[in-house]
Amino acid sequence: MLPDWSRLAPNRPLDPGDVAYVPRPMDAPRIPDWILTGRSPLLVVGPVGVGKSTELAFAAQALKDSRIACLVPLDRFENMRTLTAEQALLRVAGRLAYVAVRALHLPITPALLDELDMYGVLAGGVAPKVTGMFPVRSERDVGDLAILVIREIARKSTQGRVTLLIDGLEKTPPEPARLVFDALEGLHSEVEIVVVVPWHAAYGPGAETVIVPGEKLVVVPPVEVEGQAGTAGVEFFRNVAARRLRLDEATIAQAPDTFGAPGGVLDTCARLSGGIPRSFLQLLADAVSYARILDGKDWPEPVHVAQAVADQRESFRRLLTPGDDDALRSVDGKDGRNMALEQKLRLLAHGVLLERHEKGQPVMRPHPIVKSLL
Amino acid sequence: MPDPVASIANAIQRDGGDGIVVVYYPDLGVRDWLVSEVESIAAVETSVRTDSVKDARTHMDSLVLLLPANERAAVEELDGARDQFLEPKRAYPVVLFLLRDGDGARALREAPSLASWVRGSDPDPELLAEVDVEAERRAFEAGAGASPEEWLARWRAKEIPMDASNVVLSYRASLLERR
Repeated sequence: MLPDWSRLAPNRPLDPGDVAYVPRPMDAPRIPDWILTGRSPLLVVGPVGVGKSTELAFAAQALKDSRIACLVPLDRFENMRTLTAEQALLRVAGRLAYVAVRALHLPITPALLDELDMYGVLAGGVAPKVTGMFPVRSERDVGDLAILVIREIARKSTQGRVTLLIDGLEKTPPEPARLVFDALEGLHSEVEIVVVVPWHAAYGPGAETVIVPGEKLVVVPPVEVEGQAGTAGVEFFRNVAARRLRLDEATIAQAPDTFGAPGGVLDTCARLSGGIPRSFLQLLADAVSYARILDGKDWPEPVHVAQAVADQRESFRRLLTPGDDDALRSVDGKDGRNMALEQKLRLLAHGVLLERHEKGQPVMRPHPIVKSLL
Repeated sequence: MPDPVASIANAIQRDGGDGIVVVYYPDLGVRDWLVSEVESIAAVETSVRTDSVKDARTHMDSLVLLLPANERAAVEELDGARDQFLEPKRAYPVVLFLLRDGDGARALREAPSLASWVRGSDPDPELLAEVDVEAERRAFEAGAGASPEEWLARWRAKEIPMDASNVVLSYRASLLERR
């Protein structure tokens, strides 16, 4: 039987509890470890495609026995470029109420559900069918509404505490992002919060207004795939492919030698991904697609990976602006202190430039495919 | 044949309904031609042309050809609302047409979320204009065993099965056809 290649789904993060999840090879504490030791709020940052959403989903699953761990993917509901603080709070309240009613079967006060329903943030089938006894208070402050939902759920649940894992804010521009973080600040005393933040919020001008003393910044770094230190990383990516594709021994036995052998298709995609899971999945999916289109083959071969790499190289080339080449060459292997901040944030956000840890020190490295352009 | 030919088919197929594809065009005349070509390469039953990102989201069962007048606004909206295209699951991708080196292309440099999704799925087929047509015709004949015109005649008569490989071949042949 051939693999169902569509399962690679490079753009689709895993859901909580998905069996395709593969733990990242890292010694540092993970998001649930920080929360369980009382560190909240937790701010999460990392390049696009590194797996922030998947790590949040894993954390929600890992925390669910000890608290109401509610994953709030704001980006599934709102345009994150135009998000307001009010919309963010309403989405948090609506999602939490939905999870409480649907997944946990908690009896939430109908008036509260009515108010959320009025704002259109309650997913279908959760709003009470009979209303009228409880007047809807449209004038209520949305921050108060969110606190009412949180307190009621914390009180009625056996776990007694709520953790919000808020995803999507990395796409929000600096000014609206700052307003949203200010609004979430109002919930800190009520809940534990894990929130994905943009690069500019973590490292840009005014970062101190987002990351205040006592808050913990967790960087989700690219997986190390280079040299001897990268052996575990390459193995991680092989496992990601095997789990996503549900490959068993019989299926792997059908694959050509060049697919899974050391230095073959999987290893090449892993090393050229720069340690970014989405890049790895895109390269592999690209190669599969080229194998079918160009040669009518069911399994990709190294020549098809080369075609996929050529496409990605063109995509990266279009992202570069005048001066980026020289800057990338200069910063390669250094800590990036002397790079222009705006340029560094832009290149980090795109994953053109990757921050790695080598011998315990932060080191900037261009993405391996970008390196071939320099 | 240079990569862009298969790149279009690959871009459409790679991520299936989870995908957003960018196709670059040099001018409106070529854009209109490319829109038709993308439709034919995709070989889907239904395709929809629209200039609105919101409208694009509503056509879950169709290949959507997104042709915005304000390309920057479309890129920014797709960057901010990218994940809303994941649910409900789509059958086919959204194909966004952007002017090469235009405002939308510049906006994409400031839109890491969208740029990350379309990486490797953003061909610039106009590069085909740079090919040596006679050399490519000879290569086509060597590979397909017929001239582009002969092969296309059989294709149009439905004598050749419609699989992914032949769809790409038909695209190559149509580019090389003497008109």
